[in-house]
Amino acid sequence: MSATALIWIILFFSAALLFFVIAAVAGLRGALDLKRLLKGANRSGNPPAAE
Amino acid sequence: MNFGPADWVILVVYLLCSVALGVWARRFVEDLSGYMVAGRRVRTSLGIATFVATELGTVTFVYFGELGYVSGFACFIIGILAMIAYTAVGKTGFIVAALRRYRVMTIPEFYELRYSRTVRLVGGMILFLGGVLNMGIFLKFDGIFLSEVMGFGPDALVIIMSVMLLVVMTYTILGGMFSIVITDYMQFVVLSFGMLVATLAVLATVDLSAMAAAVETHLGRDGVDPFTNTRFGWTFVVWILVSSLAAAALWQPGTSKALASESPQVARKVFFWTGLTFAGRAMVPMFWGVAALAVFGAGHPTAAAMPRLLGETVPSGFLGLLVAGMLAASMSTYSAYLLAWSSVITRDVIACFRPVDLPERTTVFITRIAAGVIGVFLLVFGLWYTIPDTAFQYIYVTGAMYTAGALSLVAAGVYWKRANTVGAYAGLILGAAAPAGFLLLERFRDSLPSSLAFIADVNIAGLLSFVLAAAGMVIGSLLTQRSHPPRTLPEVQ
Repeated sequence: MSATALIWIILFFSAALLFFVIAAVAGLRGALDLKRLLKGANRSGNPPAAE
Repeated sequence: MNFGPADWVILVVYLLCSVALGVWARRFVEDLSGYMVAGRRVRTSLGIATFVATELGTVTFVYFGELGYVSGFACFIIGILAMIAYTAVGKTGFIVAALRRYRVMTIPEFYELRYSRTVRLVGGMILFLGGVLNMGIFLKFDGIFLSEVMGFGPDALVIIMSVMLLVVMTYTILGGMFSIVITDYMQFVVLSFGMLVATLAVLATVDLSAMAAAVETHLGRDGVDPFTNTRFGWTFVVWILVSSLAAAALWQPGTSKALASESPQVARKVFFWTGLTFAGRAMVPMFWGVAALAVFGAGHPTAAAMPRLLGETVPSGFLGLLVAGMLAASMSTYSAYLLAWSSVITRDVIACFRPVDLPERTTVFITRIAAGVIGVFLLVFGLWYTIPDTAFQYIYVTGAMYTAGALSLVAAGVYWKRANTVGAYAGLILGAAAPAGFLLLERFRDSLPSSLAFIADVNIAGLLSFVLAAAGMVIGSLLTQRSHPPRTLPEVQ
């Protein structure tokens, strides 16, 4: 395997790791954000007016 | 057929959940900002999830996979350039923070604030044309992916894709951005898991040294060096960097996620963290494409090689999850794009023929009709049109029709006091000219005179669009400062 190919493969694994870690964190915390977004709806089932 | 009963169960349950959730979200839509930007109440993590889901469709996997198959590791540079561009926008707040501050819902709305209502109309038309042409090939590439992964014939997939489009149109038309945010979140989870499963399956099947050897055998130096690769080169690298920067700040479906965020600070954070995922977003499917080169060798239909590899390597049961993930990716992309382009045609084109904006209810009604009409267009165009060059380059050159002009108009509008209406028209029209010239003339590239041959090179046409748009803005504005004094942006709290 050439050195350049090896560098690209290392870059691939770094990028993939970064993607899946951020995806996992955003996935877990996003659930809470989504809950808050929907909970912000008023009694008629609608969200409050924009800020 | 690769698809087993367990795969079907996963797929059907997933599709039903998507529709049910999307339609349920209709109850949260109260007014126009609720429909178009989810009441501007989306926080960082949810913003990242919906942004990633929007920017990852099946078509994204197919065109990146195709690039991996035809150009080896060299195409990985695209992921790095996209990461640099999106994180830079997030870190500096370049354009997006200002757009969020002015509380616009579409980019052409900013044109009216800074230039004039007619500039908004012209900009809206160009944005709509570039956007819909850009989206026009999505369905076709989704069809290629699904036919190869599931093992069906292409005829059956026209029906499947029509059903999928109908599902997306139903919840987008009814629930707008609230539906999109909720379904995007679910789709983000499913597609991330699907990507992980596919990557592990590919790694378990294909040896890394075999991939490196295949790249060397079939592509030689072109496979590892993007600057000497005949498909890419310096022009391509500069074009993609500028284009990614413009797309990061101004591509309506993605930018609408920033405009839906809770505050300009949240918008910047969403862009920064999403930007960090962009290298992986590109490199993961490219890696699958390189693996396909190692398994099948060169000479396979380029767009079909990577999906076929996944169909053969991912085990039954997981295949259903992968297809559900891919459908998730497509549906989230379609829904965001449908909403973005239907909002633009309604608010920035149809409404701009009137001196004042349409009433909110009429706007939402016309936006829903427009989303339906665009959906039908996608079916017809996707089946009929044959794309030039690679799908990736088609996507970027159609995107440049709009982003080149938009970058010069919005960047100058925010950061340069002397930008005026004449510069805006020149920027918009010249920015769209080179990509439009490429799309029209590339079919006659063999009969073009040598002086016009450059326009049939997709990389030159793409880069030229940004140069011409910037030149048009600067020269047009400077020459007409007295006759057309620049308008200043209103003060905002």
